[in-house]
Amino acid sequence: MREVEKVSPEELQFIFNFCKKKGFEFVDLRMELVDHLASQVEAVWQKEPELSFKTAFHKVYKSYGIFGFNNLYQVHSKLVWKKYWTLTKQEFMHWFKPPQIFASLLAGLLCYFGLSAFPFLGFYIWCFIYLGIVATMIYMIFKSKTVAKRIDKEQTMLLSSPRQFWWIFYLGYTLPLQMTSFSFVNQKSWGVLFTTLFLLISLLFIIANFKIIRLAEEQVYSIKSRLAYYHP
Amino acid sequence: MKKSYIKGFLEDIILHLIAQEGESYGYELTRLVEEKTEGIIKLNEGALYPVLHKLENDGLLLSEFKDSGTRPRKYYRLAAKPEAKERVEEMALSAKAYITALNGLFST
Repeated sequence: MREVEKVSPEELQFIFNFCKKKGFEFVDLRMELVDHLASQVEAVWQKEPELSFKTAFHKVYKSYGIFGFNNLYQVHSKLVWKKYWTLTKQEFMHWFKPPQIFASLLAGLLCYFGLSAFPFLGFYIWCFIYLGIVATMIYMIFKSKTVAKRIDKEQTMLLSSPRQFWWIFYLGYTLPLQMTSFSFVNQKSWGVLFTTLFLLISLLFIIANFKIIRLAEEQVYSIKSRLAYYHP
Repeated sequence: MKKSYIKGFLEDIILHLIAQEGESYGYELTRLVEEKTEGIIKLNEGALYPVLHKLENDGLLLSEFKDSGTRPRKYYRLAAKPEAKERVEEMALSAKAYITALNGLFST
């Protein structure tokens, strides 16, 4: 019989690797799940202290039903998108609150009246938008890979944000290119308005993503120190 | 008890418990709910963690990993801003009103 019914470092490592094999790739979420499972194993030991770790863990795993962790995994995958979307939305909201809203309005008015007076600027603005978005995507992919190396190439919810960025890039920037030639944008006043709004949204989107990847980088330092618990 | 009964109350239950405990973590919350409701309500992990993360994203909860002795454990606590406290109070009032309304319906 165990003296202290606590999961040992080796057993903790087993649970950590087991969750990774089951597809819980985001280490920040996995750590929370590992603690939950370890607590459940310890609760089993309180009732049946004679059980081995493997038997107790199997008992816990079985309690998740016929699909095992599948339901939990699906929920976790959705959380990543939610986290990314919430942070992006927060950044957008930030620029629509005083005093930042004055800067947003000023940028919008400058762009609108500038384009109305000098329609040829439209071409350069669209080039700037697309180059900016592509450059941001390349930077995020590069940065997330570099930062991931600091935590044994593990992924966190925030570090995986280039994946979400890619979908927005595809749906918001490449699909419209396939459907329209964009020749209308400088010919009519609503085209000027559309260009102005698209520029502002793209700028905010780029700022939001830079902040997300910076936040991910800051988070990695604390994750790195916690990872030692799972690799005794 | 049907899971759909609990779904609408999950945020209320979790916020209320965390406010009551000061700080808590996922597994403890499942145990607390089970104990306080004498096993009638059971929180499953698939429902609990998305709600915890949603409340954290909304800024109502703050989280911090602490050393629990053998492993890191993520603790949640109510955010210090007044909106969080107001939301807990509002939720408690709504839940009580809802329970009274249901009592009125089913007591006859």
